[in-house]
Amino acid sequence: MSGPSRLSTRDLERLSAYLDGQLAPGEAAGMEARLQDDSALRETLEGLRQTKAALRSLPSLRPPRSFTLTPQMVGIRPRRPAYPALRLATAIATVAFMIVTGLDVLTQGLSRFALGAAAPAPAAEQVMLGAAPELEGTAVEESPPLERSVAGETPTTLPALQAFAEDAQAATPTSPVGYGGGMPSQETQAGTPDGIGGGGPLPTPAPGVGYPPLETPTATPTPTPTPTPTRTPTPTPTPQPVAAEPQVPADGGVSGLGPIQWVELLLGAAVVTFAVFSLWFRRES
Amino acid sequence: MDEAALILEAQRGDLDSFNRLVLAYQTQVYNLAYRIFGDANSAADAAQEAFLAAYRGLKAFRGGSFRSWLLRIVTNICYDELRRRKRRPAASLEAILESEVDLEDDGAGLRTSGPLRPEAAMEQAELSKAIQDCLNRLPDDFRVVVILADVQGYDYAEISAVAALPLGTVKSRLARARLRLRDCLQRFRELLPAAFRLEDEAAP
Repeated sequence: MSGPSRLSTRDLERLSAYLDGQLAPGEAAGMEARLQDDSALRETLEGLRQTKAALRSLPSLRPPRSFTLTPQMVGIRPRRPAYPALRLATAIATVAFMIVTGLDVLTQGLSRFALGAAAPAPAAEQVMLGAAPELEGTAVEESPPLERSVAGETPTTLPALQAFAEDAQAATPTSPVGYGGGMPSQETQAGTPDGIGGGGPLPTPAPGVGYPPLETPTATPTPTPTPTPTRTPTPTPTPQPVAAEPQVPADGGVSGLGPIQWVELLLGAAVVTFAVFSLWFRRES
Repeated sequence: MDEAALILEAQRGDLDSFNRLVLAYQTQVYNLAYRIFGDANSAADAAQEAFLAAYRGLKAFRGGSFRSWLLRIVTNICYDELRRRKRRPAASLEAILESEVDLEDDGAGLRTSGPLRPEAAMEQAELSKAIQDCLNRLPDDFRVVVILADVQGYDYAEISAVAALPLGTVKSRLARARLRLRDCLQRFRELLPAAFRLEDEAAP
């Protein structure tokens, strides 16, 4: 049957499906038979075929960018920033700990030199002893100046000592971080006039007896929170400990902590906490 | 890792796995959107939105063809945007102006293998522009179906899944879209390669 030039919708659909090979075998055979007879049908089929070919010729375009999603886009709170933040907090707490400890040492030195056998010094020593009893000998070091001050040779030495102590204090800010490295020399400076004034046996450096240097904990991000070493190694005159020894345990225990020691304790604890968390987050991420 | 494993990982919230799926399908998703809109910016926005929606709705994917599921998402996003533009003709005009510009360099992103002769490249670009122009004139429903079938080359079953249409509707829309495109392309017949030329009587 030769159809009219204008195709019915049904025929158009069949022709289109035939073009795509989507007619059932029986229907396809029927369509082929009709195409033999119907030139208009053939013409339409050809038009559709060419249209399809033209559309297929459209190039596949490269996307202008990648559409991969970022954690921000999907609202996932990124975990990684926790690590740098904690690392920074550890560093800040460490530096603060070092500065406070340094100030503590300086003020102790000051008070010891200026006020003689005032309470703070033994209290601090007590803390040191309580935290690290094996350093008992080192606590002893602190007494010689006291002893000497008590002996109070001449009042004229005091201003000189204060001046030295102030010098030392003024020197600290220049190297707060490198405190461990810088301080011993300052201590020695302060100690020298003391030795001269006291006329006693000039302290000879005894490295073996010295405190575990403060720098050890501060150099690593996980310093121990114990405020044990509040002083750097000072020259230890061996004969004097005996006299000084009784003073140390005489004072109170932890209750004897001054405000600055509390700050040291808290800062030390903060350093350890931050360091532990930062290590944990680093492993997590 | 195969697709099913990646989907499973992505469903558990693994963004890296999902992004591997994105990389695998982004060209198809982008090209479908590009042919629906006829402009690169709208297509990129739709593709991005589609992948975001897919990630968020991944738990709702219950097997079957992941590609169909993705293409359906991007198709719906395109429909929504087209409807929005009809409500706001200003945005529509802007898109048309953008598309004019984009169509100019349609040939620039060709993935054809090997360098084309300059004239051939120009002809290809002109032809692409003409075809896209004809596609843009189709009703949205027709356009999506004919793009899926003839530009992307999917079979009827997949088109039915992507466009959420019964098979019969797919067939009828495709036939009518092809007929309209044939008539539209007559105007550009000098651009068509000999093999496509509509007046050629190369019938069997």
